[in-house]
Amino acid sequence: MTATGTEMVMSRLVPTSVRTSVTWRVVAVLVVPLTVLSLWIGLTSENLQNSELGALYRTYHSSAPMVIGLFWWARRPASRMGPLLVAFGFMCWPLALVASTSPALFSIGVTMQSPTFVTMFLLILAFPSGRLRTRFEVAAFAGWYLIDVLAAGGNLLTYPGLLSLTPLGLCAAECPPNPFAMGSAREVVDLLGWVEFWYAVGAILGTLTLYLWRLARASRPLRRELITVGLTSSLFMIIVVIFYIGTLIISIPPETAAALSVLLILSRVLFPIGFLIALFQADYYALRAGGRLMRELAAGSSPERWRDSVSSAVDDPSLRLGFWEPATGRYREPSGAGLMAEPGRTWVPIERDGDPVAALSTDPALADEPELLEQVAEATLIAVVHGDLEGELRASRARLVEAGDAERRRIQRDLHDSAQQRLVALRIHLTLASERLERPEERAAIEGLGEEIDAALDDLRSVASTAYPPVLARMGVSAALRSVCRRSALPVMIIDAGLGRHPEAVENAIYFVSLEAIQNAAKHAGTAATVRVELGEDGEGVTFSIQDDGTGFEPGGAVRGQGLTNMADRLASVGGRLSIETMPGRGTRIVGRVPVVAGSVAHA
Amino acid sequence: MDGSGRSIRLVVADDSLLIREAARQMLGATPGIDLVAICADGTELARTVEQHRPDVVVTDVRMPPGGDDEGVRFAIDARRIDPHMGVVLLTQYAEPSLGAALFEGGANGRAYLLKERIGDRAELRAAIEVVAGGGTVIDPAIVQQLLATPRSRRSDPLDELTSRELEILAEMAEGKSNAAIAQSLVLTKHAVEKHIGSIFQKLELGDEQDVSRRVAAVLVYLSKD
Repeated sequence: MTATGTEMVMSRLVPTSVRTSVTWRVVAVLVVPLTVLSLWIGLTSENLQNSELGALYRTYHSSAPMVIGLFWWARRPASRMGPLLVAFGFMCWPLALVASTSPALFSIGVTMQSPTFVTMFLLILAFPSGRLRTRFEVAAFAGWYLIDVLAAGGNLLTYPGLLSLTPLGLCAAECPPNPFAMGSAREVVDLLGWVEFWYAVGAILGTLTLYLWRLARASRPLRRELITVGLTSSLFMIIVVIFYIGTLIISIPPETAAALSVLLILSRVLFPIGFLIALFQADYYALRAGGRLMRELAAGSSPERWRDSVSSAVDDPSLRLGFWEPATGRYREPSGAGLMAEPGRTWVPIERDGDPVAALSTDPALADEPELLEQVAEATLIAVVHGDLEGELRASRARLVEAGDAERRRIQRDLHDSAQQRLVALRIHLTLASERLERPEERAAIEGLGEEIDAALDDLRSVASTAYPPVLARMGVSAALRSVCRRSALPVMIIDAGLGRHPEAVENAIYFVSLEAIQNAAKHAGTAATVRVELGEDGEGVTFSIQDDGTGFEPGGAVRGQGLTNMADRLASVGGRLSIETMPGRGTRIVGRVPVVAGSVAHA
Repeated sequence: MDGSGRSIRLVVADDSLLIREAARQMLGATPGIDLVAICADGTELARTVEQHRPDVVVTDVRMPPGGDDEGVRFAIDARRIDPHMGVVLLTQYAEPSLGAALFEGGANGRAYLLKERIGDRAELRAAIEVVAGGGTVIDPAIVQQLLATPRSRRSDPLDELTSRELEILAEMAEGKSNAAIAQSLVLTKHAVEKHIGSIFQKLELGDEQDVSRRVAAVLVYLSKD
């Protein structure tokens, strides 16, 4: 077990262009001549049956794992699986030598068959990290290789004629003699063969058991890969066992053996492909998870909800997500707790242009799912940037609204300071003028003008107050609404359950949204309707509602759509939300919520 | 008239030059009123009041340096400087709530009028005389607003008042004496007293004989939720 955590830097999880090491390139260059050489040996063979097909088959043995391994290596540089597959390809290359007429090369080719067989099981068990997980596994495979080297080496040194028994590898006539045979120690070699056989039986069963055990305990994404490799690669394990038991021990009829050998060939071809499919599959599911996260993001999320989304996308309930806090230089979870790389877990810092944005601390098994982690990391990056955007959008909307409010206030002041003062002065001069007049009818005419000025002053006051009610800034929302409702045609009841003072932008938004809702009710609810306005706040923020008992309307109707949108926008400019409950004949209730710090005050 | 027969010494304050000039022309020529000084802002007003000790100050509510409530602040301070000084506040807004602070220290010697009343010589002079005598005047337009204020109380005692009682309540709120109410509504003084007793009972207010304290009580009642 790995005791230390794995750190996976986002930008290096999955290289966007295949950036590869020198070793990788050297190996990649070697693949071509080795493939050509393998094909040449096979096609020019004179001592094997089906030499053309056999040439392709044995070349595939080495070249397919090499190519797939190189692909793995490039895609998941942090995983050992790629180099391991490449090494397996190299190990399989000498199998092509059985086609050689040279007795020495033929004998080496035959001898290499059993170690490659052992390695196939190693690949299955080491999937997908490319490492064995426990000391027991390492010891078991070391023992298997040791006994195999002893047994195969023993055969090579003692058997005068080695036999090629693999499908598409049968000798055309006599197999070439073994030039390495130096003498006879049949008892010892047969005993080694017998030990190796039973060791292999145990190892195969053990590998299958371990594989199934890991499958049962794996997270969903890992399980998908294990199943893929299990289905494609274990098929070979099973068929090969049946084939050798059938041909070597119970001597099945030749037709059955031929059919089995076709199956064996097909499953052997499938073996390396399983590892490739697992990689594509990881890509597919990672993209799907990314798409799902994007949809959730588009639907609106919060830091807490996002953690849950990411956690379920990677199927890791233990996942922790921290957002970078530039002020403290730390990652902080939505709950407020600090987050750091933890030993024994996978740590994924998410960066943007080298600046930390967020970090994930995940189950160590997720280190084997870099594509998934990358999708999740990218989605989180977008979520954070999107959050910034949203904040920026809100800020710019708030600036517009504030500019509008300032303008309304300026208009209100201007009306009072200039037009109203002029009219009042005019009113005084009219009085003075009328007093100078002798004739009563002339006086009456001038005084009539004075009354006109009074009416104009009333209108002016009303316009100024609509633009920006002086009471709002001085005494708050409920006093301002009370004041405006005195002029309302509809009976309006205002219930203030302890709404305190709040920042000007918040009070303005609540006031204008409530006012619009009251005016809507006056316009649409019907003449018999009454309106009830409730204002209140709790630790989370301000809640206000405007309810009428009028006609209501069909939700989603276009007529009132724009007004409601304006109200919702106005409230959104201070981070609030608006909801509407209405049904024809049921009245309308508009509820607004604005998150604010309780008791936050202040203005003059 | 403050009863002694001499003119009421008056100081006017308004930040608008147009209004100051108009007021100078009008109040300078009003019999029984001696216009002592005209100020352009709160600072000047305070200094002038200190110096001249007028009987009454007519001031705009909104003025530099305090802005929206400079006049209200002055009216509150004025009690400390000279408890007998009357103050007529002129407001641009027909908002009862904005004037509520004015009456917190009592309503005697205070008038709260809409700005344009300055153009009605008789009305302004009447208000000046009332506050000089320690009385109270509230602009009828503002009282109407107060009476129209929707209340959240489930059973509003105002609903129980007869229309005659509501009329009398409005007159009371404006600062009128029983005699003045009787005259304005063409009732006997006795009938007015009976109605007032009934109003106080329904509103559960103490029966105040002093007019300015009665105004304060009524205003406080009306401006409550």
